[in-house]
Amino acid sequence: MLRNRVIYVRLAALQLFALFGFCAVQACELCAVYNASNAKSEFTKGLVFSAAAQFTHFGTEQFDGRKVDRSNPDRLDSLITHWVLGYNLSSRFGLSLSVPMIYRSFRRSDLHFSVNEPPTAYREQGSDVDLGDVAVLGRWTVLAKRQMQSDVVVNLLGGVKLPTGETDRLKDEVDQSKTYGALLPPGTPHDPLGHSISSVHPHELSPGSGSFDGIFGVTFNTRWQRWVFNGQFQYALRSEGEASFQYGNDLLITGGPGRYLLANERYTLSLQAVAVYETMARDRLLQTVSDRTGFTAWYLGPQLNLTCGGHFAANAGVDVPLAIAAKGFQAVPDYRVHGGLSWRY
Amino acid sequence: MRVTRTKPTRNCLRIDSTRSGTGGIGALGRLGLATLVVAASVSGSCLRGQALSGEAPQLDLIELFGTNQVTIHFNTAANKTYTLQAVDCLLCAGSGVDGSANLWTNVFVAPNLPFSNHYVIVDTRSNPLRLYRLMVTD
Repeated sequence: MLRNRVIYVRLAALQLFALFGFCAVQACELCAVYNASNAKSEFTKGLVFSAAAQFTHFGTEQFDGRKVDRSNPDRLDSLITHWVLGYNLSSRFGLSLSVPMIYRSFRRSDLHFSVNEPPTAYREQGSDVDLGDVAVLGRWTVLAKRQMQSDVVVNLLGGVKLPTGETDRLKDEVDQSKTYGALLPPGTPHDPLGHSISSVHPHELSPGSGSFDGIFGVTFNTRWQRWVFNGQFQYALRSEGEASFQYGNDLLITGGPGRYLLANERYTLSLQAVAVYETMARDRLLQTVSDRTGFTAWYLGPQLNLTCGGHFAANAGVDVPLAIAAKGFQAVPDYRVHGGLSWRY
Repeated sequence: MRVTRTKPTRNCLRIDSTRSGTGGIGALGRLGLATLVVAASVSGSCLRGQALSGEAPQLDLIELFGTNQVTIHFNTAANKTYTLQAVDCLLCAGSGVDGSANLWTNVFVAPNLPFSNHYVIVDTRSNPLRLYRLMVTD
């Protein structure tokens, strides 16, 4: 499992650095900066291929927002790679298809309840690679003022996530919830995930949700000479999916200032400080909200952005948690590493 | 153990324990076990236990389930290991410490967790009488 993670990271690094020798020549420094936006496929018609990956190490267990320590804790490593094929219909409109591949390595201990015998304790350890839920997204550039000295670009994003990923783990989790509920006196108030003692829940390992979800977003990109400020707002509106399981709605806000460190005839390189605020509402199953789900998190970290000529762009960054508060008993991230590549044809 | 019969609600008998978490009743006390011993064999009955002192662990409820089973309910405190045990013979329920036969068998072991929890354990009624106890260790 560790070896696979290293290979993923090395491939990403090779792809990032291998293209320096294939860059086109640019006429001037600010031209290079101007074309950085072009390479990020914001302006011109045509096909765009992108890949973006995020690796997250969930190595800390929390109970109601407080870190807890125990021997043999549960853990989770997650690598999600989005392969995106897009087409810019014009400088204002674009469509894209996102296909996620999910790799997870985990270790968890839990109880399996039955109506026929006492619960049995078990430990699960392994790794999975699965197709996740595919998404179709549209982009509308509502504002684009581009000049040599400065840029302002505002995009509206909207789309739908389709239930293409496998959902067996969701079904198993809901079945266990039903079994546990059957053991209680009728009408007893209880959490629908009260049967579980693991900090890595089955629904966190499920590649798919079984639901059609709405995705809405706004991106905001500004530049003045070498200084930049980028921001993004994204909201996922969830619906009921497999076996009545409904993930909580998810709000993500990111942004921060940056500066071009290098801008020459061949490429540009900028460094940005990115702050991230993310909050996920509690999940719902069997028509009951679970207080053992949901979280709020703040991250901060650097991000490097590279462009090469007018066709290629890449980025890589690290998110370090500043504060995470998870409800119930959950494993939370220690850090996140992310990167992306984009090629405009 | 003092047994108080009250007007049954949902066919429940209320049982009050006079023991503390580290004391004990009778032979069981020498082990320092925090336990509540109840009889769960009365047909058509469920039994609700209540500790009178401190934070003594207790079996909250023993209830008929299905046609041939009971469910045993209990809470657990953080950072403790709880073992639910059963024995089918009242007179032979020795502690094992004084040489008497210890015929208590483990029904379920609740793991040591960093938070409090609640368990519902299913057990099959294979005998007319079965006694349960809850053993707590660090």
